[in-house]
Amino acid sequence: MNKRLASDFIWQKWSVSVKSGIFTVRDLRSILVSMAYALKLEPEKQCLCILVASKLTPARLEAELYAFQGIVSPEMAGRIYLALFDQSEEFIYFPEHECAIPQNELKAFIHEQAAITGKRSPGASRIAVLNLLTLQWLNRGEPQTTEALRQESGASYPTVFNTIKRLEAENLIIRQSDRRVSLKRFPESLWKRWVVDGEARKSIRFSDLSGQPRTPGDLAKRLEKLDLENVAVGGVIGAKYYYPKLDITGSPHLDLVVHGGMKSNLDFIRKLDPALGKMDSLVEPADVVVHFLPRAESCFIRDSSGLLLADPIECLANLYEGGLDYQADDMLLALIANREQR
Amino acid sequence: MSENLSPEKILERVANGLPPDSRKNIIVIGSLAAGHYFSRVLSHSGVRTKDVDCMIWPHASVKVLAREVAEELIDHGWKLKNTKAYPPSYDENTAIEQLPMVRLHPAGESEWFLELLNSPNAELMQENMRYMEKLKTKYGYFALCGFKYLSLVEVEPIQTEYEISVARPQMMALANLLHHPKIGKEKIGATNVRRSNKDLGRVLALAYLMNEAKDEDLRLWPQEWLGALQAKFPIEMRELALRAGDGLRELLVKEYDFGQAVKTCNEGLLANYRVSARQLRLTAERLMADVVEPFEELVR
Repeated sequence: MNKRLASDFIWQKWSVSVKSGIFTVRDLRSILVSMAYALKLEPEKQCLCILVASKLTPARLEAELYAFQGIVSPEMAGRIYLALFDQSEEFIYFPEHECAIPQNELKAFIHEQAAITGKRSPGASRIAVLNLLTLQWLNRGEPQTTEALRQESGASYPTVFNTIKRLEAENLIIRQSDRRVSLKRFPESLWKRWVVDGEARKSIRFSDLSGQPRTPGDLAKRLEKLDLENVAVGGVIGAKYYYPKLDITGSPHLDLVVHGGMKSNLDFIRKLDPALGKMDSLVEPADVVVHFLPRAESCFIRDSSGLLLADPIECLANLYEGGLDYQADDMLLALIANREQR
Repeated sequence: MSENLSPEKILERVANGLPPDSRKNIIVIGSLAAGHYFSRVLSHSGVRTKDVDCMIWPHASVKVLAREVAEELIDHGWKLKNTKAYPPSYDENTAIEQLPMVRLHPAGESEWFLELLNSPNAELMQENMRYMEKLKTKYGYFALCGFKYLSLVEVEPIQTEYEISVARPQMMALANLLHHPKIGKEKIGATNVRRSNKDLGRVLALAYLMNEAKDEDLRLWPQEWLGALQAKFPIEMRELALRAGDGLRELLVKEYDFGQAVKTCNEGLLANYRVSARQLRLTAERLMADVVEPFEELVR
């Protein structure tokens, strides 16, 4: 039976992960060590890591794998596998004699993961790191390691490192003795500069073409029935969950947050309402605005009725992007005040 | 094409012309029924119609009731609408195809006429979509026409204050869909408009008006359709449900026929909306997604 988790794919005894942007031997060795640690905890498993769009050659990959297998136990060595998937969307290195996972399922998983952690607009990765730290601060969560931030954001080590360094320069970081980090306060000025005013965040706008637009509330209910795991409601509807006193009676449009990048599959829009058409204009009012969340962990939650909601920081960003600055400022103050009262 | 008329005034006029005892046996169908149902969204516009289709039910009593209704109306000055298609005389020996329908203009009005229709008889409708029976009156013989799937409008018709009933839009829509599983060749009168295009277009007009009435929800239709088929066509239910969308699907891929559907909608129920082909196509796609496909799923 297949089972998909947020970041790996399980098929019988196999646990498959996808890594993109692996260009150095150092990164590859780090992956191999991580696989060995994971296998030690799950002795019945076999691990396959697929490198996507890597500059490593099959020969180099094989040599590194062989060298690594030489330093772990033979039992462990027989459970670690690597694969290379190239730009032309084919496997150029694959353990075909050992691994019987249907390749169409693997390819679907690769595309799914590529949408989440693939190429992003400039600045999107540092925003992902900043938002995760901000969420951790709002929830009074535990300080995070660089590795945890890297995994949850899907960003590279250098990006996570540089983002933390930048935040430290703004005197926003508390660093524990074990190097774990957390925010000192809500990084309001920097967050607005990066998230709201920056151009890294992308969205696609849709409007009704039938002359009979459906209300945002109706569209949200229809989305709930589609039971998607990767599309959450943000904007006013999401914000009202976190801040019921939000000073607005109705939503001007439906904000949706897709867990993935701009290349994510948006076929669900047609199921939501066949009368929605993509808009070119940024001025005309939209009925649905789709935002993208290109990080490994979505941090989506479900409300009591089962509606999937984006995190409060994402909802807040949607409000600012929708021109609801007054309501967004109000919500931000309330989120900070709620945090202080905990 | 007639001017817009008030559905309520016509219903009242029809009811007043009928023998009081027969009113409970009349179900008005077609654009007048839709005009009554959607009176709130059509309140300032009325409906553009020239025929008021009145189905007499139940079938067992139709011949007696139809005779009483026809005679009472003619007694009170309603005039037979003669067309060139029918001979001026009609008696016992006239072939049924040659007999006129009961089509009557109210006294002093020529804008619209009432037409009597037969309630479908399951036995007679086994093979045919359409069935005709002779009706003997003191004014001569007439033909009473019945359509197989019109029995669906007998499912919970809406009682009006005038004692006669009107068909619910969802039942008229299902009857039209089942009557046209494909685009047919039959044309309406002397026009080049295909009957199937007009009737399937009517389904889309009803769906459009459902969307226009904000408190209505098309998504309730599949369950209501299933209940109606269980009541009226229990044996064929699954087969009918699975083919209910066939005609509409064909209409959507035939541009010329879809164009006729748009035109007839804009000349009829949607006269005041002037919908574009794109708008009506999107209405159709919503209908498929909200109603037809879930309906098919219910019997799969």
